[in-house]
Amino acid sequence: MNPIIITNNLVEEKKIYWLYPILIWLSFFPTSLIYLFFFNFFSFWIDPIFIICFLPISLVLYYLVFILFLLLFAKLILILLNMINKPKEGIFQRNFQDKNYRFFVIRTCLKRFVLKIYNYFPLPWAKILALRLFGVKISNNTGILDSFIDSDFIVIGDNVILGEGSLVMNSMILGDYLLVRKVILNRGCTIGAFSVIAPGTIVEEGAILGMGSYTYLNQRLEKNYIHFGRPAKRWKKIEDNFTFSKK
Amino acid sequence: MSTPVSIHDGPFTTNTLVSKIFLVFYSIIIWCSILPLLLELYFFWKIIEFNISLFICLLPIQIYFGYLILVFTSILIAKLFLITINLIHKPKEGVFKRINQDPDYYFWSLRAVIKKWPIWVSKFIPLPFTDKINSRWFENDSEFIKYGKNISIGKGSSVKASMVFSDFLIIKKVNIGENVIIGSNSFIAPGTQIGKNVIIGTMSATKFSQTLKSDSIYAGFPIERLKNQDYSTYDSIEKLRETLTSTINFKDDSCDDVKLNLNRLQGEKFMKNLKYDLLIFGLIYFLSNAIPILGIIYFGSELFIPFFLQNPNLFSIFTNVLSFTVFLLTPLILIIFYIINLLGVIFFGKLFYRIMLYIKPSEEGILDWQNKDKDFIYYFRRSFLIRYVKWKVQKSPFPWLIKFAYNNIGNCQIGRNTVIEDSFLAKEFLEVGNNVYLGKVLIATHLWDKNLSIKKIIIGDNVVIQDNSCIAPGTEIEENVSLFPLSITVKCEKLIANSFYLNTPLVKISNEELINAFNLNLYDINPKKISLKRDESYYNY
Repeated sequence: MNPIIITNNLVEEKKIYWLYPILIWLSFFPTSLIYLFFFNFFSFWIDPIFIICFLPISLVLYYLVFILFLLLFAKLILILLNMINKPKEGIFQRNFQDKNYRFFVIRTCLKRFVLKIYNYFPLPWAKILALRLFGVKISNNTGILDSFIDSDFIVIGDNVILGEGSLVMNSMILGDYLLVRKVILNRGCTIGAFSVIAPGTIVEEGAILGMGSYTYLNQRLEKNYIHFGRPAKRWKKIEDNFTFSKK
Repeated sequence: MSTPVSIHDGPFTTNTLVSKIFLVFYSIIIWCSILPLLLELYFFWKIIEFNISLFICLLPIQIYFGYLILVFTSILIAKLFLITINLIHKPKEGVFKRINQDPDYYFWSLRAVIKKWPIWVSKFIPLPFTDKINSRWFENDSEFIKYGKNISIGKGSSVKASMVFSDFLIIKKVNIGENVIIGSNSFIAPGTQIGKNVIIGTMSATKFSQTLKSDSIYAGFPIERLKNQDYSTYDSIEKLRETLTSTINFKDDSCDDVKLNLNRLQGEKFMKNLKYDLLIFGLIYFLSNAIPILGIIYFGSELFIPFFLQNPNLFSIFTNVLSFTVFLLTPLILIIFYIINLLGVIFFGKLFYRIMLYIKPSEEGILDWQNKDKDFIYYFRRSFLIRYVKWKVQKSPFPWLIKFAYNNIGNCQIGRNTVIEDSFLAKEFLEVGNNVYLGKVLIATHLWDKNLSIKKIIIGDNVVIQDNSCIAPGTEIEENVSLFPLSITVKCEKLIANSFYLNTPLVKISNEELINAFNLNLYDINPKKISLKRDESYYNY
């Protein structure tokens, strides 16, 4: 058994394409209803000049309301899905007949679709809000710069910094099987850029994972140590008076 | 195909721009693809006829359908352009010199420019079928990549049929069989042949022209066939579970004491001065958008509505000279206002950056987490500002402007003829020479440690840094250095001129060792002598 293989966790997406247009359609309707109400309220103002002045601002508001309702409807569908089949840790057969795997794929596809739209928002807090609604325990002052975080069974503590392009995965493919396992990033730890966190990894308080390295299944990164390499190994202790080596 | 989230994913084309004439082609594609949208808008206007409640009700649906029409027309027009250009110059495999005079390099760049617009347009609302069309037609060197059915490619990994390496551009066909799974952040080099049912692990890179056998698992850097091929040979799930439970304890909850403050903004590291950051962001956003929006309103009310939308019928748009010119000129005016918006972001970003520099000049050194002095606060404030400008320019359809933006704002310098792909660049203290190729890399001038340390990075002329490599703060790279994919420097490392480096931590290799390491033969710097044939000994394990 070689524990270093981590791969992405989705192959069969075709069977859930029907979800995307429904989601977009649903979230367009509340926006138009809100605006209908709004304009009826201000109907004595209406003339072409008012429309011209108001349209640019209203388009921005449309966008904001649209992405908010998209998130809400996705959350509603997720609650329904979770009522039918609760997310579970463990090993499942990678087969659409398997109930656990089927629901896992539907859930992750739904979340990824919404997160992809949220990724085009200029400020990072929208993404944190979306992740929190999708079941990641994450605090507001986490630095998720441009990283990808899976949802479910992931806990991210205070003051964690995730580098750009880093991936936190809660699942991986093992041949014909899929493994789902929790990931815990304790408070104050730092994950370097371009690094990959495998399912089951536990990062202790204040530990550091270097750039471009990955952890293997169920690895534990020790407190106050820098870890580095493919797969990550304990490298050296974090010193208090850390300085650049002078030439 | 999977649809991942991060910035590095989905179909992508290079930002190589050999000559600025290509931008004319590019703007013509944008121009043509907006025209059908305007006609659709005319019908929408006819339906609503100043009925305000109907207008408001139908606007979301109009936006959705208008977007779909824009996507389809831009895909069709770009495909037409591609076909005509491929008729003029047929895309070829081979090794070409990375100079503007080389016809193959020239047309490679032209193809990338044409492919850019449909990919950019179709990424906003992720539709599965556009993803498929983009990866089949418009991905970088899609002419040379053959995907099988039921493939999943991980986040951040790149499948490349073309690769810039030292002074050369190498193009060779890539074949991927059915049911292949490629892990995240891995690199598939040109010429790779992958069989059926292959699994490739995380952060692994294939050698040049390597063949991967069917029904097997590969991992590592350089990639190797694993001896234990036992994931798929387990008969039942119980057996796998038994063997895995020896390594994984599913009931281990010993590290669950994570303290979260979900409701309160503690503001320990980042958000202490959030309101000022947001104020500056809002000001830049408002000021940069004000001129284009006012211009579009003026254009719309004076020309577009009376002369185009209020035409009595569709036929009169094409017969009336004035309304026809308004119809033709509208896309161009939209493009110009968009560019004014981008330039406005750069200009106002520079203005605020200068004001911040006046209060606190930027310096290299070590900043402390605990006592947050003025240096620390202003470092984050400056990086917040430049991050927005960078985000705006890099995600726009004109990513070539990033060089202009970097040379204007901040203290970075980027030389001529330098190509910057969709990369995570440092915000301050970066010096890049001429004729440099930076792939999808990370360049960081600060290091998160016990403290925050900031140090300058210098990259010399003719340097090539390939995908998924990271450059740590304080690194000095001299001229003509080539870094392989997935190579990572340690802080304050110095790379000597005219050499090749690979792996983590970096190892310097000679020309002779190149064949072993990457299956690439560069004995003579003569493109005709580079072997493109597969060497049998490198994949017989």
